[in-house]
Parts: sequence; structure tokens; C-alpha cells
Amino acid sequence: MQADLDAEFPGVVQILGVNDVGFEGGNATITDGRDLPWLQNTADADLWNAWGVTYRDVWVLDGDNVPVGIFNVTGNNLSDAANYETLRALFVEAMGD
Amino acid sequence: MRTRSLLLVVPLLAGCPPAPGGSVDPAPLLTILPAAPTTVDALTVDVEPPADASFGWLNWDISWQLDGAAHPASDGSTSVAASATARGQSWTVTLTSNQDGSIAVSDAVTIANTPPSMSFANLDPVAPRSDEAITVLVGGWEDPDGDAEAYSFAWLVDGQDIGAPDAATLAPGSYSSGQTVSAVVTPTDGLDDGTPITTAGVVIANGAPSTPVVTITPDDADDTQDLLCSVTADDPDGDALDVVITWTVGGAAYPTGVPGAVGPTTTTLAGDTVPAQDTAANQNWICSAVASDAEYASDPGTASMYLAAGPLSDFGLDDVNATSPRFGESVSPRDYLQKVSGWYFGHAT
Repeated sequence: MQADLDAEFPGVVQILGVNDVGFEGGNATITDGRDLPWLQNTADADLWNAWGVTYRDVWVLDGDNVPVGIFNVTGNNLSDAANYETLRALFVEAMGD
Repeated sequence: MRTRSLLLVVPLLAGCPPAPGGSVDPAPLLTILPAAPTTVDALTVDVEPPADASFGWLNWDISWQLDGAAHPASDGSTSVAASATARGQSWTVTLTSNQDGSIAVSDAVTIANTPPSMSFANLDPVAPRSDEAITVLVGGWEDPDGDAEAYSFAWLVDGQDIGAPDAATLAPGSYSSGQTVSAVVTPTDGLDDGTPITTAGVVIANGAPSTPVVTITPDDADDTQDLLCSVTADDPDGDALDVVITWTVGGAAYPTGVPGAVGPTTTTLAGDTVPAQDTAANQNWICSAVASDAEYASDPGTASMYLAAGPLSDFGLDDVNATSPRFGESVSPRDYLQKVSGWYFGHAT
């Protein structure tokens, strides 16, 4: 999706991943072959609770860091074209906010 | 397919003299059998003497042509082995009098396609639930022409063709508990179909309800509005469903994990509404719903609603992806002010 958005909106969108505490051992595997930033959550940051995150949420923030929408990809597999378009539309919506 | 030509060349027309010492044998009727051969059939010459005449091979030479060219290996023989033939070939046999070398009869056939065959077709699983897909397991493909293995599939529910897509797997949704599903599998080589096999039927057992579709309204709610969780759930067997709704806010169970909360109320389903007084800005609310019939519970369906009020709290976390342009840096949302950013929260496994 990053490449898709870059193709139409160069330099406008950045997608990042955040790994939960306790799953550090899988970082090498999940980043293999990928160049998106992959951040490691810490007990101090406790981002899951600080933001009220649910596992496999995608939070889309506008240019003011205000959430435009949250899309959970559990049960909304992005291989489904409709789900993909829903999430992509959130990014596009965020550009207008 | 068969093509046949019968050729009679009378020697007198060509000016040839009769055989020395007497008249030539009258030409017999010549036929290749079977009339519509395939690659599994040997070609055999059948000769029928003319009426009131006898036939003796000693007076005749037999020769074969394959696709119009002489085939010396078969000359003199009254048959061609099946193994020597292939689909699409044209075989011609010619009988020539060796008394004067000029009277001939011939017949020709074209080798037709042989339909493929198969030996078995079974359904898997043998005791499917109504929420499970059913697959046909096939085997025993044979095609003397060496064509690629292929099948077509028709699906029957209680003996009726349901017009399902031509595929080896039938997805749930078109059968329910108590119905019998079977499949008709037909081997095909693209030219002809072989004999179809109808599988034994499997009786469908009760299945689990589908994962509920959950929505929270109103859209773009804020902390002055009640949150309503709406649930749509289906059961493949049409069973009555019991739907249980649970809420979390910021990762805490609601209302038990939220001190001072009034607790949910009921609009349509028990506990489907969170009163505005229990909400606050910057909270992320999640509604989860599980539907159950008398036997099974669905997977939970969820929806979330963020009660926006302003920018999220900032943080700084290290980028641990060695191939990322920001590897080793502390990354925070403020780095992406004036841009759009998407933050995926997962588990590296």
C-alpha cells in the first residue's frame, strides 16, 4: 500500500509498524525484505495502553497527528479488495483534513 | 470421425490388358474396422467379395498409407496395431490386384479422440458442517491420447444442481444442516468428456454462525454522544442466534475496568449502548460481538471508534528495521506533522 500511495501521492504518506513488547524476537523475520520503519514498543512508552491500541490496528493520522480513522486488519484482510480500498480511502481522507 | 473413399480403377480404362491366361478377379468391397477408430483400436481390414465370386488373398496386394504417405511397415498386413496409431491420423488401405496390377479398392479412416476416464471421486470432509467448505478428491485419470488431466464439476444439494461455479471446492453458503451434498465430476480432455462419476452424498451437520459484522455509530462520534454498537450475524442453518456484546476502552474491559462508569444500556441488544457520560476525548472504544447457536459460537466481530479531540500523545520509539531509511533513529508521530501517517500495531512473529 505504501508503494501504491507513493505512486499517486509522492511523499505524502508514511506507513510505519510498531511491535508490541514481548515480541522482539520476531523483528528480524518481520522486517526481512521490507524497508518500512518498524518501531519497537517499550514498557516505558507502553504505547498499546497510551493510545488504546488493539492488536492489528492501523491508525491513520492527519497532518496534525489527529486520528482520522482506525482500521483493524484482523477479520479485514487486506488481500480483499474492498478492505484494501477502505483503508486506502482513510489515507486519502486524511490528506484533506 | 470416419472418412471413406472407395476407389475402383478398372484396367480397361487405362488400357491395361487382362491377366495372361484368363480374367482378373472382380474387386471386393474393402472396409477398415472399426468404422470410427480411436487410439485404443487396432485397424482391421474387412473384405467382402462381390456377389457370386470368391476372394483369394493370393491375387491381391494390400498396402497402407499414413496421412497420405506410404507406410511400408504395414504393407501386406490386414491390420494395424492400436499402438501404431495416434489421434488425428488418416489411415488408408488399398487393395491391388496382382494379376494385372491395376484394379484397386481402398478405404480410409481418421483416428478420433479417445475420451479420458477416471476411477474415483470422493468428498472431503465426509461429515462437513454447514460452515465448512467441501472438496472433491479425484483420481485414476487415464487418457490414451496423453492429454492433460482436467475435470469439470457440478454440485448437487439434495439431488438438485445448484449452479455453483465449476470448481473442485464448494464454499459454504449454499447448504445447511440436514441437507445432502454430492458432486458430479466429469473427466475432460478439452475435446470430449469421459464418463462422469457422482460422488457419494455427505450429510451436512450444524455449523457455527458467521463472524458478526459490527458497526459503531454515530460516525465521527465525540465524547458528547452515546455510542451504539450494531450487530449483523447470520447462521448457515438459519438457527436462532444469541448475540453477546462486550466493550473495551483503551484496552480495559468496560464497565468493570473503568472506575466510576455507569455502564452500558440497551437499545436493541443487551449492553449495546455506551452512554456519553462514560466516554472521554481521545478514547478508543471497541465493540466486540459473538453470535451463538445452540451448539457453536462464532468468531468475534469487532468495530472501533476513536473519540477524537486533538492530537494524540507523542512518543519516541527506535526503528529496528535494518533496511529502513530511519534504522536506529528514534521515530515519533511529530516527525510526520504536515504529512499523513499510518501506524500498524502488531506482533513480530
